Amino acid sequence: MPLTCETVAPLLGAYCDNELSASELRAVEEHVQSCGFCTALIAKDRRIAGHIAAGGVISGSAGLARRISTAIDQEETGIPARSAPPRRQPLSGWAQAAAIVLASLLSAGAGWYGATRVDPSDQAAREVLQAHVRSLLQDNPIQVASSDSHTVKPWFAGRVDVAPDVKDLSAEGFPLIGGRLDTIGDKRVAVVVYKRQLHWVNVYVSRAGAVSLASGAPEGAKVEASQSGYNMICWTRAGVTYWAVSDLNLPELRQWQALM
Amino acid sequence: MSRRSSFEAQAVPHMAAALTLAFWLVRSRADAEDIVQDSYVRAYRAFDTFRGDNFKPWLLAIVRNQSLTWLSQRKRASNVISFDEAFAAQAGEEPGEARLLSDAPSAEDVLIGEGERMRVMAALNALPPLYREVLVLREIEDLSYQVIASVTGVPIGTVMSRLARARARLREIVLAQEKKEACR
Repeated sequence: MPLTCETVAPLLGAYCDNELSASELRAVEEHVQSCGFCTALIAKDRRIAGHIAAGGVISGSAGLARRISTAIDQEETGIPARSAPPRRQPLSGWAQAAAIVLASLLSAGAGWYGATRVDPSDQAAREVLQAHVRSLLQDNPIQVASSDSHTVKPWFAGRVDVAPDVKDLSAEGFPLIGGRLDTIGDKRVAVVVYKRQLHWVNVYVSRAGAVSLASGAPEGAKVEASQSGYNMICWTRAGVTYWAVSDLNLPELRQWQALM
Repeated sequence: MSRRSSFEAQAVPHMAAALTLAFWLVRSRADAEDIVQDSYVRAYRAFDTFRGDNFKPWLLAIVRNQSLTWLSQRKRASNVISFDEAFAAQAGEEPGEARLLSDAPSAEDVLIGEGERMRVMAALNALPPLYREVLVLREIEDLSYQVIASVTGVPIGTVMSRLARARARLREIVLAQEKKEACR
């Protein structure tokens, strides 16, 4: 019984790979020899296979061979060689979060209201700081200018996937200036902007766990960092992570954070 | 020959194959290199349990497992549910048609204006991992269905049908792109 293109279709690959049984092979061959459609499919798939074979190979490098050899040396001498020697500096967000949870456990109860100091070279802290400095270079770091929290908060709806806490703290000396969008890593985040006299306070807000910046502090804990004269406080509340950055001194920044 | 040099004599020639498989599963050279390094250490540790003469599939199976573990860990780290991980989690099960959707929807757009090879590579990149894997093992490593079955831990019949679907999907993407360009 002659085969149709439909019945042959799932067998064409195996036919080309020479993986069919003798009887299947004969039947498929008979069809293919008299079918222009299937012949064309085979030709197309062969061209594609040729491109994969030629373009898909990832060659090893001397560096990788060396690293493997070193790792096996360590394995032999009994030193745990579980993971790669440092190659790229940033920890994964996962490892960072774990490190910070550990750090906050170790320092729980110690220091100022249990806040954890974070290494300023921490990637999340660095990215937030870069974004802050970048914003200061702009002519106007505000997209929605308003001191009314009921204007600023709804502005973020539909623009980012969180609804940040926005409070007007004018009476306490921290007027709300407005909000904008920014990018940390490659994720879009909300930024709420406050001022203390001439100091800008940028608050970067994202869903906890969504962006590298969100690895800054586990739920309920606080993390602080200082670098290049800037101070940062990070906290997570209700699944939303906040990073506040300013050139304001740390006590005043803490005072503002406590009001939040 | 010492255990070490016997291992190296067998393992070193397959470094490119290991790296190629890991790369096409995790799609990052740096991560693929880490995975290959870890896999080689694991292989060395388990080398005493290796019997027989099919070192390459044995090694590639370790690389594959490490890559799939990496994919599932990345999912937890990023909190993003993607088709990649849905596939990785169900490795061994044949995916239903609904899962054939690509996890990189932009693939068709990035292809514009590139040559046929670029089109094919981008289309491959857009396929789900189990399809990428079977294509790499077949077209690049030129392994038989039986060896592919031992690397991926599924029956030969599954290798055959998965490969047929992977090729059909790849061809569809490439043809659709060619048609789009012809219309310009």
